Amino acid sequence: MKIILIISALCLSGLANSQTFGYFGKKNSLSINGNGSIPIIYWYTKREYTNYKRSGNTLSQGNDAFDYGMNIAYTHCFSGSFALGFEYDLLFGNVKAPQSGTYFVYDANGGYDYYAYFDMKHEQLSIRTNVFMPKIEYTFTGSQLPFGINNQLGIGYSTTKVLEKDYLYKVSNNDIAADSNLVSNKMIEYDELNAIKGITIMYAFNIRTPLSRSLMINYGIRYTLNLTFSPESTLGLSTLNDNQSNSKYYTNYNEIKNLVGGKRISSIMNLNLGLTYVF
Amino acid sequence: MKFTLTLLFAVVSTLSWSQVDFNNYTTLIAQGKIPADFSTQTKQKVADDIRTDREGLSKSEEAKFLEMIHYGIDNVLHSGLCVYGDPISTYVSDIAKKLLKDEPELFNKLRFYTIKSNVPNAFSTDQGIVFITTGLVSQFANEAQLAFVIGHEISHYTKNHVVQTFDWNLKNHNHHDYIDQMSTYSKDKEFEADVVAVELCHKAGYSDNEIYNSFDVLMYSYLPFDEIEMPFSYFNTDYFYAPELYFPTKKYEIKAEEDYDDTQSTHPNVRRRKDTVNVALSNFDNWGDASFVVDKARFFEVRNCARFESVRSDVLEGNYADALYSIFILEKEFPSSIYLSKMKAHSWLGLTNFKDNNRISNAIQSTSQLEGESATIHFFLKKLTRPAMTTLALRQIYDIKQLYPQDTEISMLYAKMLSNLAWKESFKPKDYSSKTFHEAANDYIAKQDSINAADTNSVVEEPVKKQTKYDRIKKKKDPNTIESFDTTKYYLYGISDIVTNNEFLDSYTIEEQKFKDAEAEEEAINQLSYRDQAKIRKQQQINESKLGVNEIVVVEPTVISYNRHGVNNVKSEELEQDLEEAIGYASDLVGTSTYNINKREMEAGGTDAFNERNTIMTLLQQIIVADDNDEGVLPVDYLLLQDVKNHYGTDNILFTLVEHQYQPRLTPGGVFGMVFLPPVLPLYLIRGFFAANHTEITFIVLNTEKGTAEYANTLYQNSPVKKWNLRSQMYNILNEIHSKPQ
Repeated sequence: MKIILIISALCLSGLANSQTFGYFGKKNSLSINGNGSIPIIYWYTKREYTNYKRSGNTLSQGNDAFDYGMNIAYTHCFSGSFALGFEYDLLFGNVKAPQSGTYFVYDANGGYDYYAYFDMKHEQLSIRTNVFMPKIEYTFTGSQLPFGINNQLGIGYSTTKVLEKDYLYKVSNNDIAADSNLVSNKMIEYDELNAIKGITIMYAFNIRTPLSRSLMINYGIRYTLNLTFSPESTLGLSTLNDNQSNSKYYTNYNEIKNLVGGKRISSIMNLNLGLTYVF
Repeated sequence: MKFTLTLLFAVVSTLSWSQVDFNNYTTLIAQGKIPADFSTQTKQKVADDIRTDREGLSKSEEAKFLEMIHYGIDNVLHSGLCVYGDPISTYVSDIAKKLLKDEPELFNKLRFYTIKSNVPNAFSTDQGIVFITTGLVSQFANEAQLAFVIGHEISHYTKNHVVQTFDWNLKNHNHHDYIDQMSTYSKDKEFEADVVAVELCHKAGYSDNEIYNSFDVLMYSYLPFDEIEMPFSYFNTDYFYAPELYFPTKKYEIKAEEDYDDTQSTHPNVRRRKDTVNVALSNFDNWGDASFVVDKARFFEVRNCARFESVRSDVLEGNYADALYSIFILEKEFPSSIYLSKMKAHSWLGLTNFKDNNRISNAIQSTSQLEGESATIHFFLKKLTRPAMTTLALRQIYDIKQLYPQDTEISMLYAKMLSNLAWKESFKPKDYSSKTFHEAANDYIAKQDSINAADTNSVVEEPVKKQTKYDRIKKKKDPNTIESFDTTKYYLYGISDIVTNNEFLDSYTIEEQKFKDAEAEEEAINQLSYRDQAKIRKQQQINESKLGVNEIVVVEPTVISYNRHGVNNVKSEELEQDLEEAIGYASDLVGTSTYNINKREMEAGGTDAFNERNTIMTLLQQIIVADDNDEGVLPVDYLLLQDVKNHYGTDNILFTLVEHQYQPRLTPGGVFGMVFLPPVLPLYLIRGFFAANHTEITFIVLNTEKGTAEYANTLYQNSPVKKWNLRSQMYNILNEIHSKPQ
């Protein structure tokens, strides 16, 4: 045990500061990770609504269970405890669709045209988010980057797009004869909806365990604060004509954007698993 | 025929132990075939030692016991301080043989090893090993006293005291007055061992009086091995004079008493032990009167070995004042010992380093600790100012150099002293007088007499009138003038022969030039812009770590893995093997040739490898004590280190230590707190379990030629000790020290 005391004492004297760091001296790393989360908070915050999801060719009440995505990150270590990097995230999730809309009733007989409101059962909207994020990696308790435990902090620019596809939906209104059958169609022209922009602030607790001289397994937990910018004030668009009645359905894009924003801000945590190549 | 046999026996006896040349003494080294105690892996020892009848211990208790004793004792065996087959161990073994002449089977189970330490101690282990320190051996007055201590330790073994104490501790450690009970229990064991030792000594024919006197040895063993008055003139030479006012005016009494309070101690006080032994002595009739049974001459030789080792241990531990006092005692018997001169030079060099670094209190005792005759030197050294210490050290080392001009080690010590002087801004040869103290004093007295005797108007006025104020100031500053004479600056007259010696001045000038060059370089850097300065400093820092090492001796890495109960010895040993593998892997990758000195492979390397390892461990210890990252000290085993260097062809030695602790940081309170912040709960749990590894990897590269630590670095890692982690860290370090400075 004496040797321990001896060596410890010598090292306390701080004879030399090592300039060496990196994994086998390699300071650059490229990571690719899959990530996933169960959007419990989103379910919780939207619990007063009814969500619908596709079950075959019908709609059923319920939530899609899983958000998922992947990210690619490059980092460069500047010391054994500090690194700078850049990350690209691609995330997929689901957003509850609007549950109501506006119905413009056109009176072909020259009477009053008027607006009416309808209820809608609409399959959840699929969204895709891209995040471009510079980040730092740091560790307080070690000096072994890029492997081992590290903390990551990043702030990035995000764009979220509602994916264009034929969603299953159904509208109903007691006053107006409306299509009460399920429709699989574009009710809304999503590609006309601009990407919803925002910022993402990220903290991750990450662990890299070496597998070989240049490969590590990478896993951890990440917390994000996803903010979306306020939508433009008056966005409304006719998206679908009722050919029989010459009436039009309207929906408010702002509502969709708010729903996406709500989804993004409630996505606060996910788990990561991936590989890191060190060079 | 009988005479012939007697003569033959006498010759054989003489040949069986070779006389030690104390004039050319070298430190004790292990000799003979390496015993299994030193070459068997600890894990193997534990496995081999499992028995079913060990004092009623359960299987798990036995496992714990075996782990504790084997790993504990192996730390002692491989501490670098322990030797076997040396004159002390052999002599102790021979005494034990006499004590156990009726029990040869018991004797054959026992092994005797020496620990080179000034801590006066002896102890035995459950494995049947008896250790004795040189510090204790140096204190005995005769063989009988040593025999009693050996008998005492053998009794601890035969009575199974180690395992009994372990068992007792297991069963009683939760008791409310555990310490008191433990103290009583332990004392009973000591009394029992004393009584058995008396019996053994009686059988061997030792004197009962000397057994009784053994306790005086124990009581005063904290003092130097002898109490001889040191004359105040001890440091005076033809050139150097230290006034008596720098020495103590009183004696410092020895405070030890027999009947001290032992209520919290594991050992009874001396008074009680004497009483117990007195009763035991009276149980036997026909006591012998022998103070020596094995060999009187050998005893004194062995004791002198221990005393010479005592000096070395003091130098190693930085107890330079004690070392000088011991040298003072030993010089009386061995005035021509070059070993003692070397140790003296080491001590003075160490003292100047301590003084320069404001650590002199490490080498000398505080006033309240002063006891006995050695107080004189402690007192004197305490009084020395920095310039006085430097001057006296130069005086001493210079004189030793004059005595042994051809000796390599002494030449190295002298060179170090010169180098130290050159780097001291306070030391300037021109500040010293070319007269001795007495010459200067005589001149001063003569002048005073002439002033008193002469007519003041006719003799003194005339020259005084011719001097300006500035002439008089200059005269006071010139150490060779009468006006400057000052008894408090006695040291300025102590090296008059040295400062006028051209050889010294030439050597000093060369060293001083190195200092000036370094200073000029530093000044040139300071003239640069901040950006360029930072660039150069950074490069200098990088270069400090780049040693250009292509070959290195790797001392077995040490891993200490802690769990909740302390050190997990088994895991530690397993990880040590992983670490060795990692060093091998990394050195292949880097292209550094490594030579292993490994305590686990001692059987292959044998005693030579064991001694090499001890030498290296000693260097490490000395560097720590010196706490001097420059080249201020010289290895105390300089010549042995040169042998190591010659053997491996490199003067670089790598030590690696890994300490690992896994300490989950989860608390019930924390988990409960997470109820209010549920999203943070996963992070809390993951951090708690995964961020619980704390690993420190320490590397030290020692240079045997310079006697310095060339590189020391600790890497912190928050991950477990795994193969690839270790390989990477080893690669980084070996690559760094392999790189050449730019």
